[in-house]
Amino acid sequence: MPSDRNHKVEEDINHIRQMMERSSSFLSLSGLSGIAAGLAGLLGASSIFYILKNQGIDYFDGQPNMYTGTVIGQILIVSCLTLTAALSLAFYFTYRKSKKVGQQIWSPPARNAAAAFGLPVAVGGIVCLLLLWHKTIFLVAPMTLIFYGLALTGTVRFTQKEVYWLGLCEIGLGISGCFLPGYGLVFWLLGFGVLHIIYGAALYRKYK
Amino acid sequence: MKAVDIKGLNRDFESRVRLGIMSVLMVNDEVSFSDMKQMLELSDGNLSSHANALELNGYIEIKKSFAGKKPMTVYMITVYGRAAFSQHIDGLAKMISKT
Repeated sequence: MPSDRNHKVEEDINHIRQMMERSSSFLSLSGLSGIAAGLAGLLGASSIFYILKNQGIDYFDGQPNMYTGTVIGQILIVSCLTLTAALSLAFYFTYRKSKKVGQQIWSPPARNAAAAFGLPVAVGGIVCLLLLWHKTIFLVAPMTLIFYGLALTGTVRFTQKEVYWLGLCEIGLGISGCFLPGYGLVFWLLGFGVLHIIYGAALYRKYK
Repeated sequence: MKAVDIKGLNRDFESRVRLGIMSVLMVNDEVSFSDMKQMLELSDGNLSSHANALELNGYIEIKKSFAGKKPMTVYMITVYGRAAFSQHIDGLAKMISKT
C-alpha cells in the first residue's frame, strides 16, 4: 500500500529532524523564566534603593558616594539573594517546560549551553570581585551586564536565537553604563529587570 | 509493485533506533553511550546491538576507553556513514516529493 509507505517515510523524516534538533539544541528555555528572573531583578534593585535610602544616601544626587562597609555588605547580600531567586525561578520554569516537551533538562546540548554560559559569568564574577577589591564600585553594575551579555551571546549555538539579541542589549546597556558612573543601579534595573521581562514575554508569545 | 525509487534508500537504516543514532551523530561530533541512551530513550542492550551493527557496516566508529575505572564508550560518525545517511535522507525526501 503506497499510502502506508508514504506515512512511514514521513514519520522517518520527522524522527530524523526531531533527533537532530533535540540532540543539538536546548529548546526548553521558557519565556516565563525570563519574566520571573526580570521580576526578581526589579525587586532586588528596588531593595538596594531602599537600603541606600535608609542610610540617608540619595542615589541620584550625582555625588560620588563612598559607601561604608556595612552598606556594601548589605548590597552584596541583596545581590546574592536576587541572583539565587532569579536562577531558581528561571530553572523551575525551564524544568517545567522541558518536562512538557519531553526533553531531558541535562541533555548534552543543555550541558554545552551551560558550559558556554558559565565561563564568561565566572570571569565576570572574578572581575567584579577585583573591582570591589579596588573600590571601583561604580563599574561593578555595568560589568555584570557586559559579562552576562557575553555569556548569553555565547549560548546561541545551543538554544533559541532570541538569547543572542538579549545578550547584545545587555552588553550595550553595560557599555553605556560605564559612561554614566553613578547610574549603575538604573542600568542594572533596566538590564536585569526590564529587558528580561520583555524578552521573556516575547519568547513566551512565540513558543508558548 | 509500483516503480518506486528505492535506490537512495538504505536497508541498514530502516530501524527507528538506527535512524536515531545516525541523526544524532550527524549533528554531534562525539556522543557518549549514556547520552545516546538518554536522548533516544533506549535500553543498554538495544542501543549497543544497533550501534554494533552500524559499526560493522562502517557507518559509525565506536571508541572505548576508561575514565578512571569506568569504561567509556563514545560514538562518532564516519565519513562513509555521513555520505550514506545523507543519501538515505535524500531518498526519503524524494519519495515524499513523488506523491
